[in-house]
Amino acid sequence: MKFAYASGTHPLEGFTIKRGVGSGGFGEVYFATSDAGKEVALKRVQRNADIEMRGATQCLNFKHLNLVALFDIKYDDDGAGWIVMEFVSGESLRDVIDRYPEGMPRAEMERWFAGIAAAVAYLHRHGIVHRDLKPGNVFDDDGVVKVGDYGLSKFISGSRRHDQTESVGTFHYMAPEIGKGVYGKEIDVYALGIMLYEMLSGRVPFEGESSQEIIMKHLTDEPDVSGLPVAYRSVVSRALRKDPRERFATVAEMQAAVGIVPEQAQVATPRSVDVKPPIEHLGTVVISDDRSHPSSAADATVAGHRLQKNNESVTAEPVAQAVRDGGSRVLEWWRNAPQVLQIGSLICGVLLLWRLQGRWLFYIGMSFGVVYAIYFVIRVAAQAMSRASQPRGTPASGNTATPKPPRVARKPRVPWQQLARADLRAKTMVERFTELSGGLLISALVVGILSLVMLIVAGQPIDGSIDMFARFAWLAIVSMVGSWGVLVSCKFWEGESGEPLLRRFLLLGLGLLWGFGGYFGGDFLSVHFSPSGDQHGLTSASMMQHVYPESLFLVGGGPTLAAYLVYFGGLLAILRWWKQADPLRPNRFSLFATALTAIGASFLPLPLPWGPMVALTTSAAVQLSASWVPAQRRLELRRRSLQG
Amino acid sequence: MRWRLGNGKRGTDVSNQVQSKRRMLLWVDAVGGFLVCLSPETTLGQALPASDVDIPLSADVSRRHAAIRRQSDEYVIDPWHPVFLRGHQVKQPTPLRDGDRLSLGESMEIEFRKPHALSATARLIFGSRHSTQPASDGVVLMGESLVMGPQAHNHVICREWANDLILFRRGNQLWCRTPGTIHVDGQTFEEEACLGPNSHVEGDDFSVSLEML
Repeated sequence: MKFAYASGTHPLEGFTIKRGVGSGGFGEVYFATSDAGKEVALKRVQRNADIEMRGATQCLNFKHLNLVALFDIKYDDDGAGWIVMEFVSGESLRDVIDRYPEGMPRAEMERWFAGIAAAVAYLHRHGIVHRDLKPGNVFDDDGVVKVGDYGLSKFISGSRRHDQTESVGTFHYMAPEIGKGVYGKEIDVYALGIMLYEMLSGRVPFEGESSQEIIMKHLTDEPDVSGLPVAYRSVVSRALRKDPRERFATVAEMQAAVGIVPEQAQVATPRSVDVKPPIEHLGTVVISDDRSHPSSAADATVAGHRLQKNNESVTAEPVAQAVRDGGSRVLEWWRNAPQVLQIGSLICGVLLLWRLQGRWLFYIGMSFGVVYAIYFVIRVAAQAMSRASQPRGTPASGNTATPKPPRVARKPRVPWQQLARADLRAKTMVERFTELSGGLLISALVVGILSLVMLIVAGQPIDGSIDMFARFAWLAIVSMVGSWGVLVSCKFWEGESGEPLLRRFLLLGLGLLWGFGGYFGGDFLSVHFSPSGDQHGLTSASMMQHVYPESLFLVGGGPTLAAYLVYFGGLLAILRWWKQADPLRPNRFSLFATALTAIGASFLPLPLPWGPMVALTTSAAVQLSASWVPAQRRLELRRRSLQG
Repeated sequence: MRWRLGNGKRGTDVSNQVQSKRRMLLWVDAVGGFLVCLSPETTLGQALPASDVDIPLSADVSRRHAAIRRQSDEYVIDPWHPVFLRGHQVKQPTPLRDGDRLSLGESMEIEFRKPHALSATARLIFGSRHSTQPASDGVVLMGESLVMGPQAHNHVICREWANDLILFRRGNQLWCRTPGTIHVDGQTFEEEACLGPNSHVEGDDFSVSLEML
């Protein structure tokens, strides 16, 4: 490629040409440095100079992260116009598309599209149609997408169609109505559609040997979208409608259809709002200064996922607040405590509850609740009265805090869980099997220990009798089988977030089998549960017998085979066990989930304390042995998700 | 007048001279700008106004951070400040292999390429978003010859070109060679031409300028 000016020449005062960069529709572009050393791109406008310059003047003060910045317009001694621009060093989208002949990676495509669309939306909001969007005009500057060559000729079509030096490629992005000479923003939407098609598939929808052939295809052919990913077919089709009125009316609409939050490449917010880049976010947060349309859809940025709480707690109730604070402190401690301590305190807690006979706690809790309710009612009434007595217009006491602006944060484009699931799906069968066998072993150990603890806690006589051993064996084996059933089935589900109904149904089947096993196992070990024999805790037998059909109970109140089936089937089918075995669960061991399982089980027709005991042991064993994505990896995935 | 490498005595082998600051910028139209280091030893360090290193980096590195030396056909990195190579800190002069990734300080990453088996010339590519001062698209440590052309093993890859353009040392002067006619500073030559310090070279489908630093 030849250029009019060689390296080292000074056609424009104050600048030294270093090298030619390329040749656009309107003239040559050079890389140059100013006398002080500032690196710039210089565009020498050769054709239609007046019109060019008018367009460039209009855009001279545009500011957008995704637009190549224009610095100045100057004229040389010959009267030729030069546009001084930001120099963008990276490769163009053309280069990137050429590198991926089968279509570029989805994340990369989204990054480019988000940047281009944000820039075009900005131009449209400022009344400018780009008119010449194509991959050769879009660049990657240190990871930021930059759109160049905007604000140029209004008569692009006229000057280009007769331009022999222009390559055929230019016509690939031209909307059919350009030939008629009457067009608007829709031509940019059309070009965006072509580029989206090209990024996804590696080629443009309308190809041809000559410009005439390509133009004819734009006018008559329907784009073949069957080769594109299903999710993008309708977007591309709509952007490429022949009738401009049928296309997306705005770029924001198209962005939404592509599934990109407008302005995702950067956070743009009105300048009047004091926005602090949230430090916990790793991506670059750039604040654009577009004040003109703060509420337009394209600007409407990114709902924060850490939106600051509005002052909704103007009348924060001190007692409730204290309880909440205490609770969150305990939770915090729990999350950071080592596992041994967690299990230890869990066992102590259960022991204490059991020894205190539950109902006393219940009575204490009830009386506290009643006292608190009375206090709360009085407080609310008093506040209402004090507010009513204040003059209008002045804020109520405690309401003096001015509402703080919401903190706007960048939204992760792909939730980290989704990335993690992809990781999980990518596991080989061997890896999965290894993990599973390790998990099963751990669960057997956990069950062994917990079963003994359970027996002690439940007040079973630990006397070394055959009966004691039989009960221990029954509890341990049944819980182990249950946890194994859950672990094995959930191992196959870990890659998907899943269809709950189908999973419940499968678990119901497993539960019924488990019930058979439990009943006949108990029979074999001569373990029988009769509620009358247990004097601990609140006996559920009478309540159970009212709720469930009589056929579930023997004459003495003991459970029949049917009760076993209802218990075990129900236990597996009602609770969402895959959540407890999910490698992405928030904590490896959740006391809450275990407690919920035990409480749920106490409503099923197996006499106390055996029902909750089996459930608790199984739940604890599942959670402690199921694989869990470690914290370090979670952090990495979050980072990746934020960076897109 | 022709530009002379070295100290001006004809027949002196330039590659044996351990003299710093023998560099030029190679401006290839429509391709990029490259910092070409001609001495067998090049120093790397932070770009400061009074900097005297061969490769001034706009990066968080020391004033004089490391040196890369060419010894016969091999390159050796000599670290003065923390340099990491293949995951380990390099404490003494260590040979470099094609494709090695070097980390200088905490953030600067450089890929070392010696793309052509028959040429001692190597290329440094900035992996992290850093560059030299003045800015360049890459650094070339030039041995006997520097090959520009469309193929991947060329030292400077120029995709659109039909033929290679070779810069080479002859005596202590720099020459260029390409099939066909070449225009150097307005004069026409066949296949070969001798170059001056700021020559402009044009062929059928290319144009290249030198800028002696």
